[in-house]
Amino acid sequence: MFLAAVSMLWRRWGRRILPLLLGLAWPLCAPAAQVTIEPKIGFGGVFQLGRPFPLEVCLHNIGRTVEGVVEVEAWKRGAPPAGAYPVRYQRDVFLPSRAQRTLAFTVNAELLSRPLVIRFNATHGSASHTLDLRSHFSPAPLVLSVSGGGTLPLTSLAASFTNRIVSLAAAGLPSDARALAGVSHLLLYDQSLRDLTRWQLQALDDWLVAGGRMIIVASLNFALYQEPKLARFVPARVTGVTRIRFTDPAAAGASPAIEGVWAHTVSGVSGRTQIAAEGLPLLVENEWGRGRVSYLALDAGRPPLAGWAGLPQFLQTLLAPASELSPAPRPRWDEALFSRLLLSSWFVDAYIPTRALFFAILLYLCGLAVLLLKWRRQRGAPRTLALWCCGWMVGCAAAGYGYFSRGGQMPEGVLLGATVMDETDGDYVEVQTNLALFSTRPRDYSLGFGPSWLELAPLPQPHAAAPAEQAAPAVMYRHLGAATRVQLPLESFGHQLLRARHVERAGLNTRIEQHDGVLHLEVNNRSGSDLTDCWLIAPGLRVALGELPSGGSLRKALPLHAADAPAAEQPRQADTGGSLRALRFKDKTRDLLFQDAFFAYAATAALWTGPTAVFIGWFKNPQPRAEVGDPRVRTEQYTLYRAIVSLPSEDE
Amino acid sequence: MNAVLHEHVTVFFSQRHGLPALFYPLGLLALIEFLLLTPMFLDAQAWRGAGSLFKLCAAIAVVLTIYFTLRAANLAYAPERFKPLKYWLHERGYPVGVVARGQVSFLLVHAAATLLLIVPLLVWAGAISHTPPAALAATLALIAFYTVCYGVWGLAGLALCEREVDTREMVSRGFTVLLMVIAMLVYFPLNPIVYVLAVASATEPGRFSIAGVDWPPAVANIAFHLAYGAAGLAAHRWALARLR
Repeated sequence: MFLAAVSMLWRRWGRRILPLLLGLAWPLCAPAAQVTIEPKIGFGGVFQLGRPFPLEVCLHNIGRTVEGVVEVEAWKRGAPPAGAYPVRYQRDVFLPSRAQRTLAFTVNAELLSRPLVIRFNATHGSASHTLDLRSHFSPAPLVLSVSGGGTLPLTSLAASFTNRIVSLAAAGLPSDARALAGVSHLLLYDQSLRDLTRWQLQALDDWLVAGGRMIIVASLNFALYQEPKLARFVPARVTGVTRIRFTDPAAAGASPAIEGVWAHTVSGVSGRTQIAAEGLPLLVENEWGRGRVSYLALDAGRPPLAGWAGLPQFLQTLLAPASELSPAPRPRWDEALFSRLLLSSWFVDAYIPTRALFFAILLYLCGLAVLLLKWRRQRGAPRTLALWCCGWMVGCAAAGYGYFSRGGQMPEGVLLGATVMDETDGDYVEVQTNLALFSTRPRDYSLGFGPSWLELAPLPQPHAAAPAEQAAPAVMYRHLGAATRVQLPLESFGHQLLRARHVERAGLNTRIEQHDGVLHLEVNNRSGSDLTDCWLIAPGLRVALGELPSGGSLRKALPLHAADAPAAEQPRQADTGGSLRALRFKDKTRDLLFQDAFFAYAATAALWTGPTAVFIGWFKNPQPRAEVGDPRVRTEQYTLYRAIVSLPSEDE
Repeated sequence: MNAVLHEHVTVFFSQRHGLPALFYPLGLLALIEFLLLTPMFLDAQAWRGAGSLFKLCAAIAVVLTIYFTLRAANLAYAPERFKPLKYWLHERGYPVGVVARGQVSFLLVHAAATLLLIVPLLVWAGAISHTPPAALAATLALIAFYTVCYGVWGLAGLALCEREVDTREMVSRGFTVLLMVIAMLVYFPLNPIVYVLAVASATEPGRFSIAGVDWPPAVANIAFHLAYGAAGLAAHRWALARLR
């Protein structure tokens, strides 16, 4: 009977249920994910110590499909008392069964004594890999040589050339400009860039703008140099090739000329021609933001030039380290200044409900007074009054708790950005952004900085009482596609200070010149934002220039001697530094930022040893330099544009 | 209702002689809480001021409730209106236990009323400081606990020197302060203010080590105060028995 029933059930349901049960049981029986990690560090295994470098993490999965997180832990050298602190980089990854994925990171490790740790964490399985950095670092910046068909004789450069030269395929160029920070020169020879992605090209562009040096060496395949992706960097229009007679310019006629050297014929030169022969520009240099592109129109990889004994020396002159541009004065940014900034009423009123608390206390006490009065006049039974009293207390406590913890306009955090844009050559400005993130609640923040930032450093918190591990910032860089966000966990009423730097095209251009005791100022504003509170400060001169609207320009010629200037424009202080310190703005926050951050005396004192002229202007509605992506976090941004120009002294 | 408790409640609440013991802590705490949030009283770290509001208010509440409960237990308010202990023990012939229960019950009623009055202020401070609800509840419970533990020594003082109002107040307060200082010297978090500050800020103080055994701070503090409160109750009983 029983067997018959089982047999009937099997016939009716068994065939349908069995595949389902097997399907459900399969994940339990399937092998766990087996992931191995294979890293590729820097460029050909080399990176410059102290600078960000690319790290490729190749994951091989020979187990089941898995989804997890790859985390890279590097160590940075922090200031006391925090000391060294870890920085983590994370990227989500989905690994199908029996597949491999390569993930690109840009890592900044400053300590060699601690290894780089790469971890893969998933629900079903994990893996880790430790990398000793001591065998990979180079103290000097790297020179990258990217060549397609031919090769340049770089191996015979003089021994005095200490930079490591790394040969690289074009596909190996990183997609993040920060990864190129440890590269001084990029040498392109006979190489097409057509296969580079948009992000790789953007990274090259950003790296050049930030101060990189690109050397493009001509080859017989002149069509390569006409491709749009490479042609945008070449400071001339390549039209063809020809053979010329080349004489070493350094030898000044002492060495014999080389006959039949292959050279590009060009037109429309857009840079400075440094060397020319037979009417052809042979070496053209073009400024690119703070960087430079040098174009050598000679084919140095083919005979007869490849066999020239003076070629290594000639190439080494092209690879000479760039003369350091005078760095823009660093704004002061520390906890003391941040405390003073946050004491301004706009901030304190935003989250300290003094007024609301006053009225709440008043209402509560009034209610108690009324109940007490009723009791005194013996209106109502004592028990009823006692119950009313208890109800009033409990009700007030609950209502107040609800209001003060969730109600009102109290922001969950404040992101304060203080940015100073320094004029550089051309339309580019160096942007230094100081950020302070303050949280009124314990929560995680995710900061986005846009694609082109080059440096981002959290500042350790110098609490004397805090232990070292608490003072160290817990920063995590989370790579999400092409963008990188900074994850910051903050405690209630905690804060974190950060500094960021990048170079961008601002559309602002300032020219200050001195002729015959008259200062000529010309400012063109094509930035898309109005400038307000503009000032020109020079020795014996301080002039309020008012507003400079977007699209407008300003031209002024002002006598430098105070006696010639109108009385209102005569400062008491004769030197520029003194005049700047006496400058005041209506907005107290601007005042504080100007005096104590952007033109802090200790940071800028060295500027005022000689005669200097300064043009400044505040952006009217500046765009936030960083975003949290949460409307509950209030964002305040202040941006100052400044151009500091050294004037010739009286003797000059 | 216990006759002693009834008499105390009547004098304190119905005749309103004990209201200062209830409203002084309320008024003082309200004033201090408001001033703590006023920028002129905030220091250079003003932007963090709201973060420590609850801690400071809780510490002040501990001091205020202990002080005013000690005074109330000492019957420092309108002492002439209370019948002397000998009346209850000899003329009415109540056993020591009944009188003790009545006085302890009054102490509990007073502590509960004081705490209820200041609870809204503490809860608001906790909300402004974004104190976790657990820390808020623990702090309120600790304040009530300390109030009772220290308050019983007020009853003991009353039973020991009933006739000299000033002496018993001085003895009760002096003994409490001395004990707090000695306890703090032995182990810092034994002090109620220090421990409430730690609980309100959700931090863990260092562990208490004695004879090679590590005691968690919560256990050390609560055990100490339980012992202190029990000793106060025993002293109160003993003093009442002595009067009999």
